[in-house]
This record gives sequence, structure tokens and C-alpha cells, in this order.
Amino acid sequence: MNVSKALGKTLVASPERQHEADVDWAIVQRVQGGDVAAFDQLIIKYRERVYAVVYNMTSNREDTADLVQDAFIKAFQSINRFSGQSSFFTWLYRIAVNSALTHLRKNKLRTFFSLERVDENDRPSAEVVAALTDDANGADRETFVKELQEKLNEAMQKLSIKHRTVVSLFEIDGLSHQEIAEIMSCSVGTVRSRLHYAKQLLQSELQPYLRNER
Amino acid sequence: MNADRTDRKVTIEDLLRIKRAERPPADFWAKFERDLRAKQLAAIVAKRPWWHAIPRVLTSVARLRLPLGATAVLALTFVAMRHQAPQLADPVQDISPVQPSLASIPVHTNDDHTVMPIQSVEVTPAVAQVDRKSVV
Repeated sequence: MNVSKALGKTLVASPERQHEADVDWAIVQRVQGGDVAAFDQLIIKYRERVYAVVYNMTSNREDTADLVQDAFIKAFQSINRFSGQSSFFTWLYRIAVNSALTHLRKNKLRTFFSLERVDENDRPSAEVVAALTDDANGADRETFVKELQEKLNEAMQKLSIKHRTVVSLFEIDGLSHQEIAEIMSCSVGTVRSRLHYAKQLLQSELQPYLRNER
Repeated sequence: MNADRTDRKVTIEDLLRIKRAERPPADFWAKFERDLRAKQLAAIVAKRPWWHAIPRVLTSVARLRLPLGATAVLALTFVAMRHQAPQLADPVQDISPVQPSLASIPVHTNDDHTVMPIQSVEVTPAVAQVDRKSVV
């Protein structure tokens, strides 16, 4: 099936997304034709994004690594059943998100969270940190960032699994409402309402760190 | 400059932006790849439950749905026609139920072994007189 047409039906797809989907489909067809080594290209392309989404659902590095590896293995084992009706990344994300949801439902009492390092080269986040830390020196800034990360993790964990998933996919991975609806098998309206509710909850939890313009 | 920083608005979206910038350590991906390879090899040799094959079987059957369906329709039509055909082709068979009643009538044979049913005929005198008169 023509992936571009499929995307046109289901997503408000940008040209970049369509191109990305077409490239992925070509690789998938090679894998389905027997060139299994080509699957590595898809792993390298998507592993960091899938990791980020799952990490923000679990807040635990070891669990995230296991879940992401399992997602890639499931995708590889099912690759012959992928017919291109959705884009490959939507299909892969759906596998990873469902695996994470199943894991979280089974392990509700897990409380160990890990903190990842914030990339100093990421300019938008550096600006936010700078705005929050004002005149703090390097060591104080680092301590502040760690504290902020812990608060963010705690606030995310207070959300329900579904609300946390929507926030991870929208705010952190930057997907559109339509893409999230496809991944989570719900309507766009449901995505919007979950996002709205989640942000309200996060705002109340993180009030000390928010700043209005003076 | 500091005044600019302290005046900057910080929203919940900005805070979540920090989470977007979170990265695992540099050596994480090397270990990730090793573990993934080990799991891939384990998945190859792992015995899968028998019901894992069902989706594959259904997919291959689904590909043949048109010819299978056509064959099923033809087979049903053929069986239905065979069932109806014997009743229409041989009308004698319609009276076969009569045969048992004929067979129950006792018979005798004459010298040339022709089977003749025994019939009991009651001849009334009036009829017998009419017959003699007509003959004369």
C-alpha cells in the first residue's frame, strides 16, 4: 500500500513526515524481502526517541532499556505483518507504548526513579534553566537542575498512566494530536482533554518553578 | 541582562522542555546494543507457544479467501444439485412405494411361468344375463 496515501487519510502529515514514512517503508520492504540487517537502520534511527517516550512514562532507566529492547524485538518478529497502513514509526511507537503500559500496570508499586543528564547543548532547556537560576553559580545550578528533574519526575508519576503517556508523546516527543490518537487508539478529542487535564495537574504540582512575566 | 533573565516567563511547557533534553550517559547505547543482540539471539532459539502461529496461518489463509470462497460456493451448489437431481430424473421411483403393496398380493404362475396376480371377481347375475343377450 502507498504509505503516502495512508498518511494522507489518517494524519495531517507534513511533507517531512511523509518523506520519513516513505523512507521507512522502503527499509521495511527490504527487511520483509530477507535483508534482515536493514532493520538495524530502523533501530538506530528510532531508539533514542522511543527511549525518551518510554523513559518519561517509567522514570526508570533500566526498565526503559528493557522495554525498548523488547519493543524492537516484537517489531522485528512481526515485521512481515506490517502492511504500511500506518507509518512505521506510529506502528513502532504503538508497540513500545503498549509494552510500557502493560509493564506499568503490573508494577504499580515500583518507586525507584533514575535521573538522566540534561544535555547542556540543548538551547531551549538551557534558557529555561538560566531563567530559573538567575545568578546561581555552576555547582548551585547543577544542584537546582537535579532538584527540578526530581520534582518533574514526581509530578509526572502523579499523573495516571494514560495522562503521562499523552504528555510524553506531545510535550517531550513533539507528536501531533492526530499521531498520538493513532498510537493510543483513541480519538483526537480524548488526547486533547487528557493533555489539558495533565497540564493543569502539573501546573499545580510545579507552581514554585513557574514564572509569569513581570 | 540579568533583568532580562528574571523577567522571562517560565511555563509548564518550558519545564517539560527540560525533560526533552534529558539523555542517558554516552556509554549507555553500547550496552543497549549488546543487550539487544543477546535478546534477539535468545528470541530466535526460544520456543514459541503453539498459538503464536495462528496469526501467521490466518494471514496465509486470508490471502486465499477469494479462491477458497469460490470453491466453497461451487461445492455447495454441486451437492445441492446432486441431492435434488435423483428425484427429478426417474419418475418410476415415484410409484415405488406402491410396489411393496403389489408384492404383498399372493400370486401364482401358469405353465409358462407368467406371473399372474390372483384376482377375485364377483359377477352379479344381472350382468351375466346382459352379457348372454348381447351375444345372441
